[in-house]
Amino acid sequence: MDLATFLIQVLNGVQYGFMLFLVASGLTLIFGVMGIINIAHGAFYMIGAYLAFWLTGVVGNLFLAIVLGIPLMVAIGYAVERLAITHLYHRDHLYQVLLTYGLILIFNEAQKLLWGTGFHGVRVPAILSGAVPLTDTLVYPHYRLFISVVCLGVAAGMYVAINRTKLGMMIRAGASNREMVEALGIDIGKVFAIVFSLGAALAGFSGMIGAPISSVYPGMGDQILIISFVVVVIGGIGSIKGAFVGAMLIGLADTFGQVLLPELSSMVVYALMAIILFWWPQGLFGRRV
Amino acid sequence: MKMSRALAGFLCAAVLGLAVTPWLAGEFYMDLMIRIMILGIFAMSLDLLVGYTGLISFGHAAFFGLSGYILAIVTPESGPITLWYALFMCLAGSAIAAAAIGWVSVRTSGVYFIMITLAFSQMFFYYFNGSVELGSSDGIFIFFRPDVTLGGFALIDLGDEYTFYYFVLASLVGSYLFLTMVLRSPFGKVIQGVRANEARTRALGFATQRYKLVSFIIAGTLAGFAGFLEATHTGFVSPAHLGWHESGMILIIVILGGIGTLYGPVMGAFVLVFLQDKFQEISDLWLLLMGFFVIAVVLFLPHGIAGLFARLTGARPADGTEVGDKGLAPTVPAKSREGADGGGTA
Amino acid sequence: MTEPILRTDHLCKNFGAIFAVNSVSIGFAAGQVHAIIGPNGAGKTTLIDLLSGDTQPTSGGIYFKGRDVTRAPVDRVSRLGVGRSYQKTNIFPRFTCEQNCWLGAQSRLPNSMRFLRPASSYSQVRERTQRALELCRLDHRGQAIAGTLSYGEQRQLEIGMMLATGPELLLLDEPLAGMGNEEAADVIELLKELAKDHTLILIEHDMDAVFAVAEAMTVMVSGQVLASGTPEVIRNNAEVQDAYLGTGEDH
Repeated sequence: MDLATFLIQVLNGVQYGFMLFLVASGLTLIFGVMGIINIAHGAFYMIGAYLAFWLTGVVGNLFLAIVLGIPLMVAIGYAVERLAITHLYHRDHLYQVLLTYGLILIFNEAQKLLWGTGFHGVRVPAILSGAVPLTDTLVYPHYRLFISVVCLGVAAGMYVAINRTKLGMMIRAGASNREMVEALGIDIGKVFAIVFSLGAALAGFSGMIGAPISSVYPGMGDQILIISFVVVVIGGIGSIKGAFVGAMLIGLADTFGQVLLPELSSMVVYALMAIILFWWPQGLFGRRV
Repeated sequence: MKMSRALAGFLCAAVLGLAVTPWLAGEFYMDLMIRIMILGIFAMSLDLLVGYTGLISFGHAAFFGLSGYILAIVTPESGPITLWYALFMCLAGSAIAAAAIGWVSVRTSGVYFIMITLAFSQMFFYYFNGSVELGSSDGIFIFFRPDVTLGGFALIDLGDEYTFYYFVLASLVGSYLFLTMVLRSPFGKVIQGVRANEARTRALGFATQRYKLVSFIIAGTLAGFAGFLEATHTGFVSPAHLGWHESGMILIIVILGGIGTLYGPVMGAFVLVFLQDKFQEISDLWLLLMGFFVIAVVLFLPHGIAGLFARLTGARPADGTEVGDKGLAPTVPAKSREGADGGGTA
Repeated sequence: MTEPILRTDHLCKNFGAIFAVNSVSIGFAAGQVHAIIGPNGAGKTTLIDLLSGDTQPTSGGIYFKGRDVTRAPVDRVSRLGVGRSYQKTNIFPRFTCEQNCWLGAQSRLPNSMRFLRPASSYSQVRERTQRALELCRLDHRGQAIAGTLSYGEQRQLEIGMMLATGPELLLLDEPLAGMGNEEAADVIELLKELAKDHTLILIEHDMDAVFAVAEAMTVMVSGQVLASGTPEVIRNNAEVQDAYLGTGEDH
């Protein structure tokens, strides 16, 4: 592998890792703060991608579609939290898994009802359709760089929001000690609704911004959900830092696995997970749950 | 496990009903009943984990589908193989896979366990989904049902639908009795202790991880047995058999029937298969209806049909049917109080 | 003096920067009742957690009958003959009292990886269970669901489960916690009876009870041993009076 190919794979891995991070961070926060294991989280990613596809068709521009799509994702997340998730606090994980599994069935069927079962493409905005030349024959698309930069911005924004704002303080307190937050008289229901809506929006945003690369198709949420589980388990459930490290590890492992071990590429990430869990059963940055 | 007279009578009547079904119902219902009984075995095997050991596996279909693939691999295109060889390969394969997955998984608990079992089952899914020689996502056909021979002498013919029906019925009853035996044994007492309060069970002197692993292997092997029957029945296996939707459905069946009861999950299989059949008649969007049904079960029927049954007859639910809701969870064991001394009743 | 049955050597346990147990070296003589006292947060429960294997130490050593059990997990420590009861009642709330004790008794089978015979056919387990129920005075409540017992009865069951494992040495973390006077008197009687053929290590805040049963005492403050000796020595130790007894009486 020459240097340029290597560089492209690293950039691809990092870009994939960033998108995984957006999905996995919501998943891990929802578990860490709310104690909810949300199997339907991947569905938010899928909904985001379909919204991007649909809105881009309506308004003609992906950027505008994303701007319109984010509030929609927040609203969807809020509605799901109020209507369904709220019945799951203090219930056994088993029931959380099953109810959110029921939600997946509903979301997947609703998607088929609204948009059918075909594959759809979303066009890269003209301004980003170029590519950076690396060698005479190899180029790297602007749009992929754009994804990495935007995701980096979102991750940095999350870092600041969680470490520097009052809401972030409540989220951190909630993640480390839920009972204490309740005892302090903070309206925990509100924090839960916000965390869940933001988690849904992050996953939806990941689906939107990734739509031009991944294309849009039924069941796309299932796949990202399972990889996000791997990320969260590797990083340690409830840890944002863990989700970031896990996402990067999986992004790079998956990308290089496809290049170096094409026959076994689908197994590489799971093997990595098994190895990490063998030494760190609670994940790299995990605490006991 | 103590069984009331009413329940024992009900189970005997149910088996009798199943035994006469082929004489009363048409071929369509016989086929449906075979499917239900196979899913019943599959669901009971998961109940051993979820309802009796407290391990919530979201990847149980891995063993069900893997076993079907093993049957497809060992069955040549030219003719049948003997049942003993096929069964041995399927069960041994499932047991080895369960041992490998279980070895990593039982080191964790709670939500980690759910996610890890899901992830490992997806690993199998992607492997078979990508395997061209095994038909990729289209799956693979098995052209011959195994021969049941002993010393070159044919005992029964599984190719005959009636014979196969009774073979599956005997398997269902046998699986139930096998699990009942396991649950009554010293081993069964330990895993039920693990489910109720693992930390305390350890403190009483049991290396609980080993017991969880063995339970996982037993359940995985039995799921493999169900998968063997399913592949024999339909003559077909595809990645969907070990996908996570299959794992989700079997978990629903266990809850719908009533966890920690063994017979409940069989009833759950019965109800769900008929419901699925009805939903498919009503609408193309039957999965949408199924989604709402699943949510309704979680919200309104957490103890399942068996729990309803127990409530209607005024009996106290068997201690397995009550799920450890957080509010009722046993006292937090010392281990999780890390960082706090707790050296007084302040 | 003979070799103690259980001995710790510069035992430490820290959580981050906080030393819950700091260089504790104590020898527990066989057959004695040894009480560990100290104010809240002194590290007593952590010390018991270390001795029982519920928690692994950061450094130092633990030796039971001369055998190094420093890193032994809780199930192995139990099988070696160390029983433990918890400060917060730690039972199987949905099992009957008999089933609670049954598991303890069954753990003394050479192993429980047995699948064929019903557990109830193991007569030696049944006898051991029955004996434990009698000892903790719950034999008339054998079929009651543990979660429905009164608080005092649950505390008795907690001890019964431990006794069912047939331990040589008992680690008791506040066996009297939250009990009324009458119930407490019952348990003190039970402890005296057990003291005849067991070694007892006990954490307790009730000083009357402690002085009634203890033959040796250790006072802990801030994770360290402040003083060790007979009850007489401890009672007259000025430092102990300052640090604990003077203020601890009102507890």
